[in-house]
Amino acid sequence: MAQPLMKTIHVNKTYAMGEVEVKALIDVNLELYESEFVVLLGHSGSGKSTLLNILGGLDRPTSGELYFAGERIDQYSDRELTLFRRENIGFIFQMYNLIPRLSGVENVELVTEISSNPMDPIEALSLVGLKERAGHFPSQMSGGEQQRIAIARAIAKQPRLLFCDEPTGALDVKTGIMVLEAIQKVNKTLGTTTIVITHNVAIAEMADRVITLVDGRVEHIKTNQQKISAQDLKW
Amino acid sequence: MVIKTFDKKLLRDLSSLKAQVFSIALVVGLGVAVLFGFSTTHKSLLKSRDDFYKSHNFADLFLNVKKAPFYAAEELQDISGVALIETRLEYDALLSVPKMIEPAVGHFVSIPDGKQPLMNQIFVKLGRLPSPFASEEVVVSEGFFKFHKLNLGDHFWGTLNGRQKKFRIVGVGVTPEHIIAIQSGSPFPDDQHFTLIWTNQSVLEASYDMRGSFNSAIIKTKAGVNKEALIHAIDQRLDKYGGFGAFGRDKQVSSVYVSEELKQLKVHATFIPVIFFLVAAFILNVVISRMVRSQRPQIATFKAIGYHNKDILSYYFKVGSLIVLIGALIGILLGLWIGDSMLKLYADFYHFPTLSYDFSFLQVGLAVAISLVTAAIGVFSSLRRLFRLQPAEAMRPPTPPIYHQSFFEKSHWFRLLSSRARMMIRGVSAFPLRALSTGIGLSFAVVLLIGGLFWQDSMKYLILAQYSFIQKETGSIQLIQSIESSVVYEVNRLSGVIQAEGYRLTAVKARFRNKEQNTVIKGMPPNPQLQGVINDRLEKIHLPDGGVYISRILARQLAAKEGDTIEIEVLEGKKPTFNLKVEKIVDSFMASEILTSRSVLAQLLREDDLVNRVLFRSYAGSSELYTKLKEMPQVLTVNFRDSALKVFNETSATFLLVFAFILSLFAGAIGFGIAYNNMRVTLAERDWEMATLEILGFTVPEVFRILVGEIFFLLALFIPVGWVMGYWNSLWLISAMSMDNFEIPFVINPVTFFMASVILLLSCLISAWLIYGRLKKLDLVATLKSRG
Repeated sequence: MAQPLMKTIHVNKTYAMGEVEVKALIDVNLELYESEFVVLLGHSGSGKSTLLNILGGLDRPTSGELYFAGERIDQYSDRELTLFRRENIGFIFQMYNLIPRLSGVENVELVTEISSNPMDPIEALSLVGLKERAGHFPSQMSGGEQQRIAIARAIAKQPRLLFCDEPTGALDVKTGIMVLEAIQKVNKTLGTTTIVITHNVAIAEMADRVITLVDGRVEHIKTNQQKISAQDLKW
Repeated sequence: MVIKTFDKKLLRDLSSLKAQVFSIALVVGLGVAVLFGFSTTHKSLLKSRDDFYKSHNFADLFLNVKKAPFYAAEELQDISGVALIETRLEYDALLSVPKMIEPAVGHFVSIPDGKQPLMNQIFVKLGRLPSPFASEEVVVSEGFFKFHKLNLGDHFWGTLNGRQKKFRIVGVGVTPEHIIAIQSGSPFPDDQHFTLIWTNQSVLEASYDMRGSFNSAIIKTKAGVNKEALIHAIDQRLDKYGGFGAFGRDKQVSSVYVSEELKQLKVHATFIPVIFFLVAAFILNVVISRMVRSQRPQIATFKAIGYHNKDILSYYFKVGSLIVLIGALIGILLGLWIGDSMLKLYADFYHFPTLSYDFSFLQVGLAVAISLVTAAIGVFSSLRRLFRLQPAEAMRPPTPPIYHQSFFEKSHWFRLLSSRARMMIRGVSAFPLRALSTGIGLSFAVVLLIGGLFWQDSMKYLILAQYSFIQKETGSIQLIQSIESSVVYEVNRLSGVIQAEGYRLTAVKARFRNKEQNTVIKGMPPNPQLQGVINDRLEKIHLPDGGVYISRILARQLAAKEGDTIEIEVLEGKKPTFNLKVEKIVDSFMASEILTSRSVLAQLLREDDLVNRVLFRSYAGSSELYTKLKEMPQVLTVNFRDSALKVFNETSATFLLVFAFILSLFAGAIGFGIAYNNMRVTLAERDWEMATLEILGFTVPEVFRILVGEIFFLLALFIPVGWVMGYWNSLWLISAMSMDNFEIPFVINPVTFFMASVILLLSCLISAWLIYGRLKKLDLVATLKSRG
């Protein structure tokens, strides 16, 4: 068995909400492997976003250990976490989070300018099929186009891990499928470990493995014997 | 009532904006402080002056004459327009004061024996008036008395008409004529070497052999009289007695000094607050606009359920008013302190009988009203756009600004910029109006700073030019009368004297077109070394062969240019009149004078080569020289250049330093207020963007640079605008404060522009540092969620 790229050991996360303590993650143990496509499934409030935040270096666990490429990262300082994200993590959000003041290609350049091993921004845009729209501003694009720009921005630094938080949540089915195609293409072409979190069960069919979270616990991890391509998805 | 419920939010809204409320209140407060402090000082000074002028019957006209009989005064009384005339004797004399090595000068003014004069009455601060016919008793002015730590009963000697006479101090006083004790022809008061001395008429009559005669008179005019015509009539009548020309309060030295001060206070009380109120209105607009944007759905709901625009306006007006009222309160308290401190500074300089700080509730009301107007402007301009919207439209989130490529983005240099730099530039160019007003606000801070700092450059230049290039002597000796120039050799031989030069000065009236000015012609020795004649580049100019040079001040007073021919009427001897061509206008900052060579003047006056003033350069502390000078019968007065310079440095320089320091603080507050609020609003509106950048892997300092980049980009654009505006504003200030008999050169050193920029940058850096603290605390996940 290959070494996992990322590993959590007994990870817990507790939030203090006023006088009440909310346990968002309870004893989470999981491993993510190089180049695999993982779907993190769960209902609203199941803890999937919290887990993504911890895996992506946006938050720290209350207890437990977190390893990336064999190195323990849960005790990193803010600055170290920032640099970890800069070099290794790509994010795609439900609301795209593009900088409205920058054109498509500039949004990509924003990341390539600070990365140590970036790809050409135009190449990244070609991968998501938006080379022709490079000079347009987010306000001049459709939701699907904006999300594909966000994908290009996330992969342009050639991250080891790509986290996609409800990437189709704000899109219609047709556009959502186009976006998932792009994500799948990136995973295949670049071999980037991809984690998609969603409450949409249909999306799970395109994953290598499906991790289901219920009330902050990993309920089960399923390996798909046969995964289907994004364009065959239906919901 | 819903609005009342809405009202409850008011304090909560304000407390969530604490730092912003403070920064706006500070800017308003400083504006109010200057407005209130300066205008109350102005009022207090004006009231003290007017009360004193009235209670001690300050004369309207003043005249000097060589010697006129009493009946000449009776003739003057007959001129229509003259309400009251009082004659007197006035003389300068050399004083010898115990424990004082160098000689001092006393300006003796007679009073009716043992009594108050009818006009220019003496306010006796200490002691009493001389007793009738007491020949030794005198009242002296306060500055001299205090400087030398004298006591009532102390003695000194005066050389009156060549004879030494002992005097005893019985009182200390001041008259409306000498609120500032300044020697004629001197630009500054010198309490160390000069005093007014009031003594009985009989004493001066006897000393100067003036029984039945007078050499000075003061006149009260009837209301509504044409003063120019009256002065002309008086001059005509006194011509045969050697009149030197009558003049009004507008030429009376002490009165002019006080008026100029009042004028300057008024300029400052107007110019500075205007900047502050404009800036405060602008910052308030930025902050309220931001509040309105974030509360847009609530406002829409209120509109939907039937509330009027005016109800909503009144809510935000209350927010704005509360902020400015906090500012007004700070400002009034600070203004009271400024006013009180300034008045204390003035009390050392101007010797009013009472100089008490006084303010009226009308002024408080005015300060508050202006602050409220500021709030109204700030609030109304932020709500205007919202009122035009229909409720349904207002309930939807505002359309995000649409970015597109600006015209300059096609240029080659723009493409070379990093995407972060482009972000910054587009952040500015997408809101051009906000950027423009922020930029103008920042340049106002530069204007204010330059307006405060440049005075030092001008004054330094003035001192350099005046005391290193023009007046190079140690002191000057005024002789009792014009005598053979051989007296110069006599002075030269005195021990301690390095060099001496003789000058001939004569009082004249200069006329050009419809302008007339009392001035002096100075006949200079060949190749003068102690008195420099320079141009505006500090270059030495040689004396003319035939014509004359005039000082810049006189050129201004007569509105004459080089090449013009002016008419000169000599006010002594046979009073010849002649026309002279102005060869050149020369720089002399403290004197209205006509310069020519002594030989030319001797020809014009048809006299021998005479001198009546000797300039000398001597070794420091030459006590033997001072003793000898006190004993020389030809010596009327002695003046020391450096003591005038010292006084100037101590008074004006202190004023300027304090003024520049306060203005720097104030301008810093403006810079801070604008920069802080701009960045706070940017952070509030784009926190989501900042969080995204951090998530993408930007470090906090990198994100911070993008956030503050906009304000520093605006600084880079608008500081130079501030330099240009500051230059013109300073030029306006110097002309608004110009004095009739004193020229302040307009000089701004490059270092002043630099300092102004540095102070503004520092204040912006402080606000940036505060913002950095906020950015560090930004909760990435929560910020992203708030948007999702």
